[in-house]
Amino acid sequence: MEGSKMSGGWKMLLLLMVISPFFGTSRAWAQPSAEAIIAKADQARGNVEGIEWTADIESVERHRKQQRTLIIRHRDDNNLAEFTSPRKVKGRKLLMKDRNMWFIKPGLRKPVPISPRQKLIGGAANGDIASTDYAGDYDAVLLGEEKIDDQLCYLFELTAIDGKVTYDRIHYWVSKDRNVAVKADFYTVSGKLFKSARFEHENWINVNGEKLPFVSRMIISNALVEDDVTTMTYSAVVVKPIPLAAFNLNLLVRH
Amino acid sequence: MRGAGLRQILIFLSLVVLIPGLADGSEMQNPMFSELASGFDAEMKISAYGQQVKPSDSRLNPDNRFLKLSQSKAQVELRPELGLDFRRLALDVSPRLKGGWQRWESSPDENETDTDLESNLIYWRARLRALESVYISCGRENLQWGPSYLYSPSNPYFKDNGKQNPHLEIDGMDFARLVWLESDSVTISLIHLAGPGLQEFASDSFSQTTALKIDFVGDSMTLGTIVSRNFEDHQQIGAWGTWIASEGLLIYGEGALVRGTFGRYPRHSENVFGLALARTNQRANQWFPSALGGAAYTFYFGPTFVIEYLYYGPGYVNDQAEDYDRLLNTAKKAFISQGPDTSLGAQTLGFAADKGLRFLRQNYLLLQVHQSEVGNVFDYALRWTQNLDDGSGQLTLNGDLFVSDHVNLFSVSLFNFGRNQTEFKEIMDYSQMLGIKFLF
Repeated sequence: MEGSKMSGGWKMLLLLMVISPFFGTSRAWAQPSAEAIIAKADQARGNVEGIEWTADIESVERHRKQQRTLIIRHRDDNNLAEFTSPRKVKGRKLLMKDRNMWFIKPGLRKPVPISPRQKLIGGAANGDIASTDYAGDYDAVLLGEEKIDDQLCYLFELTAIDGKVTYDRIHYWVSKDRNVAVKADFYTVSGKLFKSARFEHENWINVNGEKLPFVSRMIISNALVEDDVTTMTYSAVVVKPIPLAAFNLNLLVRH
Repeated sequence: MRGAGLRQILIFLSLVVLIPGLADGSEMQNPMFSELASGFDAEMKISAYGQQVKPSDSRLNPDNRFLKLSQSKAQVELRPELGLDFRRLALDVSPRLKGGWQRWESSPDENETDTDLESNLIYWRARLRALESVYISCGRENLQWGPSYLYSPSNPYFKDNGKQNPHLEIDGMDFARLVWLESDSVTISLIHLAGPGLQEFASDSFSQTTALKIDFVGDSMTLGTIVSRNFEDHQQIGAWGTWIASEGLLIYGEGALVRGTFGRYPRHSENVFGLALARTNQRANQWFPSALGGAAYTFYFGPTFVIEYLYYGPGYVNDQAEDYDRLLNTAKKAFISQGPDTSLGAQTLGFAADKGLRFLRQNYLLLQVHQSEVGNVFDYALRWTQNLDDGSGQLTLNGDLFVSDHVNLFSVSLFNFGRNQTEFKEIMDYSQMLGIKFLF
């Protein structure tokens, strides 16, 4: 596996592929030009006025199983995750606008600004449920190609640009055929493997008449405690207009 | 039983029964009824807690003879939350039914008990989407914003931000609001405080207040400012901001400039004490600054550590604090002597207990560590607040344990440290609350 700094074209390809582990594209490019990829990226994301999905999160931590269900709404750089079950967490909301995050708890009328590192449940940090913009947040180096579950993948090393993201360094495997994320290893500043994630893209969304794959499952494993696993299953993915008011802090708190 | 909000409660309880009923019946065929039913939401919490308080034997409350705090307290609260989203309209109602018992364990009311049953409408709101990006609302609300834990100086409406004891609700006040979403980044709000709602204004005379608030959200930062003016020409300018310095570090600040203050300050007097607590600055043109700076760092292994420093301009400076000490010592002696100056002593202690200031002095430090979902079932917060001027401190321990999806055990412990003549030891030595919450 030979490390090499990426050319502009390859970097743009990565930009499209890793713009989020949530989105994918239905076609691969043999020798894509930067312009074509930018146009493709614009088409895939720019005209989506909103997308909503349900995330069922099951976490096993120290042999204790926990379950959460959230409805996640996304538009542009805005994400709102609302807990719907179990009852003890129902009504809790996590609002993300760019890198800003707030936690809103029923009964507490004051939203609390929080950092992306704060834990959501099990091995999932708050930053994991958002459609993170890896391309904007990380510098990328193509390390080579590897097979993951019989899929030939590009292996990239992503290094955080400014330390404001959830992970400092990521090894990222992207399917050559489908251009979707397959696997990610997350590392701390000290270089220790922190956790790993596997992605499945069996959901499909229709954007401007084009069918695009969308993440259906994300499995996060704790690198230090083998049995601690968090599985996020995504369903009911709907592309629909979501008003900006849905992401406004002044309107979110009920009283 | 106080029934100020009883009629409203009955109306909305009827809605609770009616709307799901309609949805199940033949009216379900009507799309409007179906839409109404799908937009309706109802939840219920039952909170029961016991509280033990040890009043401090201080100059403000000698042997608990002045404030007469009950040492034991138990309360059960029914907290339904009802909501309806229907097209451009959103309605939220939070009626409350509370039953309480308390007992006094020290003289002069030793072994006395009291019970109380109360109902009210603590919060409600009707909100209309008037235009695509303009929302108009009115109702009884608890409006909170800003990043700080200790105190929100920019908030001209609420002195308490509810962070110290999240299990006690802050009574709402009556507001009218217009919110304009100028863009995804900028929100402009016009807020008018029209009535005191359930808040009691023991010494501060209530005054209607109008404010213009602007919120800005950037890439890794937020900024906000609010300018307010009340009907007594009191003005306040507040601002706050947060910055995501790194993925685990949040840095923030909040501040305000207030013209005049409702606080009572010691001043020379012709009375026998030679001093009195008076609102000397209420109408003054003096501007009082308050500023809070803080940082919150979240570790990889879970806990978040918070540090905040507060400069509270309206608080007493050293000379005022010394006069206050002398006055309270004199007032205490007069109050317990049962002599000719007892009533003046009681009046002075009354003013001291309700000075109209959020803090007594000017410099404070907060240290806090908190974590949520420990083992996915336990939340905790451990907080130390230090008065840097008089050396007193306060330790608060909050714990929430979810024993099932519907049952939550909680505790809030508060311990005060310092000499008896200091701020945090003025009222009580400690209080301990233990409770259980049922969620339906």
